[in-house]
Amino acid sequence: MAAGRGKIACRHVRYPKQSLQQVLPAFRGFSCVAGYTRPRRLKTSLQSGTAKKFPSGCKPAVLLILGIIFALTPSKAGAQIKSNPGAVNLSATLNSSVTIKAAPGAVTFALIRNGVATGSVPVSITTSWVVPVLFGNVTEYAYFTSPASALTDGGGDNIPSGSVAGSFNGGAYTAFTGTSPFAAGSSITLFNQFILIFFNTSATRTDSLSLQISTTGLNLPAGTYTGVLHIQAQAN
Amino acid sequence: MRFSKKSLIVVPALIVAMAFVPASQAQVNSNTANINLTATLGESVTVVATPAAPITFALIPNGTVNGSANVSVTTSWALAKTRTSVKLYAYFASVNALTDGTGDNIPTTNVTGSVNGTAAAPFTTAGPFGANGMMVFNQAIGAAGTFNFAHGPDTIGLAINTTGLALPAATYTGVLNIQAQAL
Repeated sequence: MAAGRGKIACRHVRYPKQSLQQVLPAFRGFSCVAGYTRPRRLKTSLQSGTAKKFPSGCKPAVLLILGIIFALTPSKAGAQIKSNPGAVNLSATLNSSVTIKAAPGAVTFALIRNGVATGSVPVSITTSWVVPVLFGNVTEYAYFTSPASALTDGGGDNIPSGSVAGSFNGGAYTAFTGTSPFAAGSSITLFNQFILIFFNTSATRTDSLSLQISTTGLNLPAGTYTGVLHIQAQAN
Repeated sequence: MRFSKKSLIVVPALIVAMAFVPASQAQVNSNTANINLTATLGESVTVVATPAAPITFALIPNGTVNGSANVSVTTSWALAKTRTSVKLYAYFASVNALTDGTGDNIPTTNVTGSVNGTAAAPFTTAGPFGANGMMVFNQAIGAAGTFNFAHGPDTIGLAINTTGLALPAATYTGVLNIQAQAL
């Protein structure tokens, strides 16, 4: 940067021929910076030997004038000098999380011999997520681990997941026969929420899930059948 | 100029494409919320008999007449696996099956039933519900699927024999009860 400054300065200053030899020391001091190119006009004048020496009393005055000129002459690069970049490593971790709370934790059914029974209460599901992504999806599933036996009496008599249905937020009842990342053939997808940065990468929602069991065609013996419905979400 | 036009198309397209390309990231699974389900199927035996309208008999002074229609009975049950049989009975509450209400009666011995077209028999067999009945069926259960089952329809053809009763002309009414029992 300093080299460029000297070069431009020389290009724009008109020097009297008789003063070049006196000026030379100042230029030499300036040209010591790497990359300095001596102006062609200056070189010619010095080689010709025609320049006259300044009177000794004028030397400080000339230097002062030149100093003022250098100071006032606009420079392309100005005074900007950039240092090397200093790297500071930053590490900020926002853990991804998806949390589900469901209540009540138990639902009962008064089954009939050959028909449909509705669960005692709907399940309220609260889903919260913090997902540090630009965009993606949060998908929630309800599922049984086994399609063949969503509920069982423990004596070999089972209610398959296909005979259990769920109604999400009052929608139509759907049998647990779908596929999810957690169970194949015994799931239903509750919702698929699109996530967009700044809008809902962190959010909470509450939904309801009503359940029904159909004993039609099952020929179940009288008894108590128990099972566990799992609710789980996945962000991706 | 050509470059500028291309840029107007390409640059926004790239921005849109970048916006919809999912970032490479791992899946995050939530905790699992568990809902315990308990479904109870209680024991039950249900009998449905038709017709709902009364079965009528056009009696004759001394002979046998059939009822206006057969009784049709469907018996269904859901039973615990500890049960071994289901029995269906048809019976009258007393020895007098029908009465005119003034002391003139038709006893159960003069009323017969034919189950599913078999030979008719009087309602004089003792059962869990009295001494004036007959067994319609005795179904053993135990195999898979038999604990929750519907039997029938079974038919009972009724007949009244007035022979020897010397009944006065009148209207005689009575109630035939049909009931099942699981053992």
